[in-house]
Amino acid sequence: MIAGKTENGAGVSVDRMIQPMLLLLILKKPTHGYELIQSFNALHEGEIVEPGTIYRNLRRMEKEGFVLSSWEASESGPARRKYDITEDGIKALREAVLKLEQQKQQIEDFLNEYKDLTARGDIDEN
Amino acid sequence: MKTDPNALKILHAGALRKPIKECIHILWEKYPNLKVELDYAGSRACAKAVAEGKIVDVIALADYQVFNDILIPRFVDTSFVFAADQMVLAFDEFSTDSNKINGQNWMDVLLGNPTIKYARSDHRLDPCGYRTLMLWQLAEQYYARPGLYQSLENGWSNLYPKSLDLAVALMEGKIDYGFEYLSVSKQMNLQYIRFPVEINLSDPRHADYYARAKVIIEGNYPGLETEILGAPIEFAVSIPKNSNQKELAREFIEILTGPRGEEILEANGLIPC
Repeated sequence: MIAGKTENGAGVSVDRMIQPMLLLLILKKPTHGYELIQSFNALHEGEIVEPGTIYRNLRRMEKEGFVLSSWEASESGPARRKYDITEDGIKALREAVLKLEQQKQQIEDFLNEYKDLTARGDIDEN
Repeated sequence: MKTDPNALKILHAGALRKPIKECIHILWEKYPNLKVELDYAGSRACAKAVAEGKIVDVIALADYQVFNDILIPRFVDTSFVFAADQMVLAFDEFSTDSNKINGQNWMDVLLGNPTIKYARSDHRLDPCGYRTLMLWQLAEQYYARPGLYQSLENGWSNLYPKSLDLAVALMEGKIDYGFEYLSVSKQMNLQYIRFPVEINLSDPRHADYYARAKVIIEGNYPGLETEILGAPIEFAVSIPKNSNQKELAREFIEILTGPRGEEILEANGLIPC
């Protein structure tokens, strides 16, 4: 598991992008797990993440202080746990973004290296 | 049954039997002498009992829609969603053809061998029953098998009042297969086949697709039918307005929906949410 570290030592996992994506969605609009599952998978089409995984990550992030939940009643439906991002959550998201930018650079460097070798004919693509 | 006026009275869906008991043990850590009266049934039967005057302090059901249909606003203000689940096909090692059945051929195995007994719970009393009917409707579309729903509905051997009874019947060898919640199957150490997410009623991403399934529950009089649309499975809890122990009921719900309750739910195969 790859984790960015906040100043107080807790880290948000960037593995599979689940926690950064959830923090980003909650930052845009505090909401409940049911809606987060729907919007998460719309944003993250490459890989389907099971509802249980999303609920577990929300609970994990609440234990770590990145989000805070409270019951929100709705007019026609049931009350659900609504998640808000905390200051620590915003900090953790910022650090996850830095970590992801580093990973992105590493991937770009790797791909460029591979393309250069291919262009020079050092790698037989057949 | 004679009730103790000071006891905390909890009425719950049969599927929640084990996690509710475990949460009561946590409440007893704080109130070791507290009397607790537990009663359980299919969720619709639970709600009807409260609507007909049964006094309880906590009511925990397998479907928040049952609160909306029967209890809100007259008997309950709102319900709180606390867990999710999915439908599976449960069986054990003694079930006929248990060595042949799998996620692709389950309908052919159930319908192809006349000695196999499979069961569902009663849709009039228990959400697991109407969810089974929804699963069959969705399976007919998903597998492009016209007539599958009716064949499955014509073929069941036993009908039980609640999902827990299905599991017990399986353990006793009265039936070979039961359409059951994953949580109950895990709690009873049963084997199970998972269905595709498109039909197992587990995933909010497929809520629109699930809503294509529809079950009509007959009322006591013509015109009093209730129409229930397919939806992701969500369990909910509430404190009825006529509770005599609202503060204790609140403490119990805080345990059920808090960190220790979440651990208990997870250990019992439910997804706390």
